[in-house]
Amino acid sequence: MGMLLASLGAVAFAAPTPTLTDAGRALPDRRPALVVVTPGVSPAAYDVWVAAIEDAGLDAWIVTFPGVTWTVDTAVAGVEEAFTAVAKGREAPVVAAHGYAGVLVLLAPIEPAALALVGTPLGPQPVVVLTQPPPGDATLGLPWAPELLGPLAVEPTSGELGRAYAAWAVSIPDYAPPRCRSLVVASGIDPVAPPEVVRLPSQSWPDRRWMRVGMLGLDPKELPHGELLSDPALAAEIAAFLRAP
Amino acid sequence: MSPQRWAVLAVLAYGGGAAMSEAEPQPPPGAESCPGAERHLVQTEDGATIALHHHPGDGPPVLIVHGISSNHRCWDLSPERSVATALVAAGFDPWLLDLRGHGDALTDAQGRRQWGGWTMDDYGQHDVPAAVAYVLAQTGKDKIGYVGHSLGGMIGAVYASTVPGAQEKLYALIAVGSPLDFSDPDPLVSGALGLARWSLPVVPTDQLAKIQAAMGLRSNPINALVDAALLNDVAPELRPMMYRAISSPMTGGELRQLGAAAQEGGFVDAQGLIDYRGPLAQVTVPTLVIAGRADQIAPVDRVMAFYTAVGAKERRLVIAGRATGFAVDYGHLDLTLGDHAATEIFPLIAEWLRR
Repeated sequence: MGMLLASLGAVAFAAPTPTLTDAGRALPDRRPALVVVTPGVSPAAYDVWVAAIEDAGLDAWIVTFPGVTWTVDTAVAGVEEAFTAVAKGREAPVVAAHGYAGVLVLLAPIEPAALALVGTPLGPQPVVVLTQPPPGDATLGLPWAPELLGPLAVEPTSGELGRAYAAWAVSIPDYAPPRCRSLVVASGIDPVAPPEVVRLPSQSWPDRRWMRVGMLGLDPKELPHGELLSDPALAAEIAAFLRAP
Repeated sequence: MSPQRWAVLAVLAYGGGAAMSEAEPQPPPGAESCPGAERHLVQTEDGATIALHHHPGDGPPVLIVHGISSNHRCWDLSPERSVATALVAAGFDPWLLDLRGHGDALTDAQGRRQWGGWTMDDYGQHDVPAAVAYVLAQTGKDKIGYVGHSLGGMIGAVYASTVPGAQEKLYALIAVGSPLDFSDPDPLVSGALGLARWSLPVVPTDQLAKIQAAMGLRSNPINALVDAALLNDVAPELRPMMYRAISSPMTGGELRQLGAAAQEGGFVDAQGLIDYRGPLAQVTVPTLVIAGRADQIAPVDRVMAFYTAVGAKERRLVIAGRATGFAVDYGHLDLTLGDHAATEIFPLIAEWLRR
């Protein structure tokens, strides 16, 4: 992915600056699929998703949030800017996000054709969980003990966003349910977004498909938060959903 | 379809095929794990027989109820893995129940096999009332605590919410891994409940458990899948004994009622007319609900409905997992007999009973 980011043209926005990249081949005749990277997670962690999306016949784009000065508001604005740029002159894009990036997507005033949210908390946790909100201006990764997340390549982001993530365990900002068809995915052993904060808050969404990862979903693999990005079979399912008419 | 999915479907087919066998289920080996326990056979109002295992202690009585396809040994596997031992030490008087057709109530008082033909409603409306009445009469007390695992918690909801006068007899209600929400059915559950269409009187899950036990520590895909579905924190060397001891047949009536629940989206009565979450709102008995983070049988999002539905002002939800400060992410059986149950789950139960 690093190679792709370096080799393909990037579109710059006002500071703090998200980076939008056509990840993979340029496929202007295909429907664009925007992958929103969670600030604090390495874009390289999304390689499996990008490959699956391109294999499914979509044109994958990826928006990242480099640097450590992001707030929730500027990141949400970045999502909107990226979506608008990708949509320009083309079919309405589909959008995929993992973890906290999904909250940024829900807060952004965008109208994707379809939306896949994987391991994204959609409501508050019902009991107190052991998050680790960062104290300073910058932080590395997500506000959880790494052993709870499973393998997940991380990078620096702002302390403000890290604290917002931790606060979302208690209260998720108000968002409008998506009007497009949506896929919501959760794993029972994902502390960030276990099924009770994914399935239950999304039950009233108008055109939503629920998918539980693991034994109950007919797959014996239980995936922690990080592996929701790296599992090829899950990535293929997400891509197939986004590709469906 | 991925190889893993084929493997899961193979397990279902394996279970279904064995279910058609004529094998006669046998009682589990050893009625008690602890010396000094007393066995009592009790008649229910509708003529069935249940068994109570009394571990005498000084203090308030507690009725402890097993889950589906299980028996009292799931709460009393060994002296080190026994909620009975823990509660006696904590100052309670525990009575472990074998529902009709399970454990030491596989046969009735005359030794005749009890062969299904009942539903989960019967447990809540006949077996539990008989057990409560018997224990209160034996102890001379007027209230009892109730602890149920999985189906045991579900029928606790039936008892507390629909049997007249039940609430007045309970000082605490504890549901451990007991799902009441069956909406958005998951593929594995839908597949398993497809067995309900076969109108089987009994599903010999105890025989399947013996096969699982006979596999011992030999690693094979089916063995690993069954383990993964049921537990996450039981020492491998204990598992053969565990599977032999804690398993009893499942009845077609249970399966059909669970099928109705999946169809209706909630735990309903056998006719599909009453969603027990409704009457549970009238239950004011202090209620503790415990869910296991890695529970594949009763996942947290389905168990939470017990907590949200119950009308008690004093209620607490506990999610037993690493992200909430527990040593492990608890699977379904870990909650009653896992390696950490005695140090992390039983104290929660005792603490709630002591309130």
